[in-house]
Amino acid sequence: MAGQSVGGRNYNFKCVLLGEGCVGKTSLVLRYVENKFNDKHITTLQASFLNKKLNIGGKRVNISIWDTAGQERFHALGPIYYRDSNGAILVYDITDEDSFQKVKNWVKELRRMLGQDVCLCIVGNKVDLEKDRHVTVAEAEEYAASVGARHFHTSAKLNRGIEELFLDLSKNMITKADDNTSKKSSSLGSGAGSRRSVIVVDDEQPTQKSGGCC
Amino acid sequence: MEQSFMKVMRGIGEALKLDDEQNHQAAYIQYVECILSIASNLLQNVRSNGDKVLVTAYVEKQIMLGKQCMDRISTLFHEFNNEAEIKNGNELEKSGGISRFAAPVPPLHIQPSSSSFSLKRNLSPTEIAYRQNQSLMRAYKARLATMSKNNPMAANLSLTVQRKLAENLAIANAQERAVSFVYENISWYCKLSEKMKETQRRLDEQAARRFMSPIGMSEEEQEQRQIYKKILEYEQQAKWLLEWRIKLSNSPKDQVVISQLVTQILRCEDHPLTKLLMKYQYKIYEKLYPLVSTKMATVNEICVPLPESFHPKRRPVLEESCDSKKKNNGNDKEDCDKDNDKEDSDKDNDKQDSDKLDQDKDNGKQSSVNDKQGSECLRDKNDESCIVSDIVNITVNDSKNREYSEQFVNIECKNNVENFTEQTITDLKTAVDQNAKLTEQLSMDNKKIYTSVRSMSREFESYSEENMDDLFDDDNNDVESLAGNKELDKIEFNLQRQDSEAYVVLSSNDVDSSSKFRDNLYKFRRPSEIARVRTMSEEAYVRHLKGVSQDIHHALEKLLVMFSIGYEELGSAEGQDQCYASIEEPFFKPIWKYLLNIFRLSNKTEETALAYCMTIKQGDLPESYGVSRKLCLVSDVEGTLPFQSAINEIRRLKDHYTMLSKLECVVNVCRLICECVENFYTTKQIQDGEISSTPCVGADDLLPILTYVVVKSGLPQLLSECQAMAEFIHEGYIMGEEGYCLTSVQTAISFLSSQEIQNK
Repeated sequence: MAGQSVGGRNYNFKCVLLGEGCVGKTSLVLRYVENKFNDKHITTLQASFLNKKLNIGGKRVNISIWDTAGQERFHALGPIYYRDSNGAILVYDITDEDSFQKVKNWVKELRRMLGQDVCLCIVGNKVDLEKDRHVTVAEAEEYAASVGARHFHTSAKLNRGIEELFLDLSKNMITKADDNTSKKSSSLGSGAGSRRSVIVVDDEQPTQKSGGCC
Repeated sequence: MEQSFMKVMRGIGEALKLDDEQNHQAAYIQYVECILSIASNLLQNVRSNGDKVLVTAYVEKQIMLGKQCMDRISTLFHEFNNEAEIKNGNELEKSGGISRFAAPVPPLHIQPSSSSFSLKRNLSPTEIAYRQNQSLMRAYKARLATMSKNNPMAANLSLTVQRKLAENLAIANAQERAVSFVYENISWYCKLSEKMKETQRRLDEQAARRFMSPIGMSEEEQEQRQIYKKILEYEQQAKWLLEWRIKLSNSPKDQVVISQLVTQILRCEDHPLTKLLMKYQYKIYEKLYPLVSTKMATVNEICVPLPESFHPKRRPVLEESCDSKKKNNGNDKEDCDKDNDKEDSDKDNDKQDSDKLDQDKDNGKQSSVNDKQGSECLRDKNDESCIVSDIVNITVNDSKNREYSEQFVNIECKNNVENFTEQTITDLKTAVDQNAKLTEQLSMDNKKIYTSVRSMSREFESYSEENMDDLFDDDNNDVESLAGNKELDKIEFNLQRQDSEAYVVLSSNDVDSSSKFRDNLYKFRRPSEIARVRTMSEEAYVRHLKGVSQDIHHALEKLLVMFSIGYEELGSAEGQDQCYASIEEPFFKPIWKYLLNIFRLSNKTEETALAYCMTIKQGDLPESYGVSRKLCLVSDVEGTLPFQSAINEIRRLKDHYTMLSKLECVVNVCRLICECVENFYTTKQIQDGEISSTPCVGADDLLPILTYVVVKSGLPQLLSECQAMAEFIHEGYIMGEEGYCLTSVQTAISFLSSQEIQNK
């Protein structure tokens, strides 16, 4: 047991999926986790909450992806979903200017509520419909850079750009988590109790993490 | 003389017999009869001697006997009293909100499960012998009492008894020796006890070792050490627990072993850890009970279908004496008329704004919130008990209120005036004037209430005095009216003290005085006050809830620490998690009913809104919640609804007692929703013979469907249940699917309740 955890630690991340209805949030994440696209798969599953386990450079990462409802009427109730998130994926439809505006609103809100601790990824989905594009690449990427977010183009239908998106986000979250831990340990010194140190190497990472956010 | 004495003796003998048979009621009567005949004997004695007291042995004996009888009945009486108190408490719980006794906290009923037991030490032979001898002595005395002293049989009897006593002791000693021989192979009992002392010392040392530094230990550490010692001691007697210890150290991360061990420990009622759990539990219960016991009925009124009296009124008719209020009312009415008229909405908004301003100016923020809820409160108009109880609270809260309003008036004035247009400024000026009037009125009312309560208490006192004779006849009555007096004093005291969260409880046993009290208070029933009181009391419940939640967290944490001290292996992360899961049920089950109620009391406004929403939407189908068309299932079975299985599952939520099983239930609801979709499409595919794709349920659909399911459940208490879950669930679950499902259900609930509150 001890031999395994030498060098690597377990990461547990919460990642929230935001975006207007019909931009393809659910398809995107389903494609990633189950490699299924809405057109083909037959069984229904709980597509609103998904877990993905990754191994990045010997680090074991578990991402919990929280889908949110895009309808405007649920907007006010968003904070309860994204509190304690490590990452957020903000999806818009490249054929829909409005959905990009929505993303901008979300970014503002997330930065206000969660500060700089959250890794943001802005995602232009449906690049298979390039000919109907209404949001230009330059505009989107410029905006993303201005708010300190990454930008990706994806197509859930063609399974394009999705792996890259999640890999990049995971790496970002790991860096942030490591930063936070080192900051914490330097500020706290070696004062952490014996039980806490057990947790750091083990599964209980999230508890520590979430504490660090606030 | 002698004859009457014999009669008394016989009577006493009978009483003793009844007493031995545990027939306390009959024994009590018999004793009292004996006292009566003794008294009449003595009186007769004195009278027959020309009113002179004769000092004779008989007289002395009778006085002694009378005294003993008196002692015995006083003990019996206390026993009855205790029983009565327990019964009283139970009745109180049933009767609910109307009566407001100074509720004694009845013992917490923990249904002993068939598996629980306690490890009682068997009595040693000497102890048994001692007890036997005691009863022998009692019998001897009783028999001796029935005989006259001159009787030669008396000496004889005394000898027999003495012989028997000695015999008993001798047998016991022999037994003791034999037992100690068998058990420990040591022939002298004293050696056994020495060995026990040695074990004690060893345990002490062991406990000391476990807690590294014996010097400078905090009180808490010392307490922990004590408990650890007790655990080890207990294991000396219950060897099978040692086997569990070995099992645990063999597989320290085995979840099954951990949960079994914890269950085993908590099954022993007298295990130190179980005792600790019950101690914490009782502390919390003691806090909860007085808060909720009288309010159970009020909470239960919030249900689906919601009683008419709770429905929000679109056209509030406020009984206001003040002119300005009437003007406001007019505006309110207009607002309501035009509520659905979108064209006029701008104009309306302006008006509403100015209304709001007026009210803000009125009595500071506090009262403005309250005023807005005035309408809501009026619907309780017919509910006498509710209003009475609320008004009782006024007396408590008013003093505090005055402070609030003064503060806020000052702040509001300074901050806002400059920022508004001329129009608003004039509005404000009139509002300030109105405010002055209102404040005056308020303070006058406060005075009135103050004096009314004072006069009330005076009336009550005089009433008690007038009726003193009656009260003395009935012991119970007397006690209660005294309690009532005390409570009234308390009100006065609180009014003077100006800050008060004290629980004012009134005895309404005395119907006469309580109705007087009610009449007096009705004179001051003003909707705004009732509303203010309501908000204040809800706020108070929120504060109480916060305290109780903290206590619970604290208790659970301490228990976990103690378990991991007792069993080192439980200190690991897995151990702690599993341990927490196993403690949950025994901890929450007995107090859950009360805990839920304090949550519900603090969420009363939201829950009422939710219940109203549920009531008016009962007939709606998924379509009306914005569920996408392909997911609006149609039920093909007669009498069932779409997503029936999920609805059934969520209704079961209230039957679970632990946070974990509740959480599981919530996850099941979400899963069942997906299952329903899948089943629906599978059947459809079979029927249609074509392979169409089954839509997946993302959050865009899950939330509206959940909203529908929540409405169909008809349980407004879901709001509080979810809040409790979020509060007490182990944080490890918050990240996972469990946390997600809980968040979704919570969102659906707050969507419903907030919608209703906004509409208002």
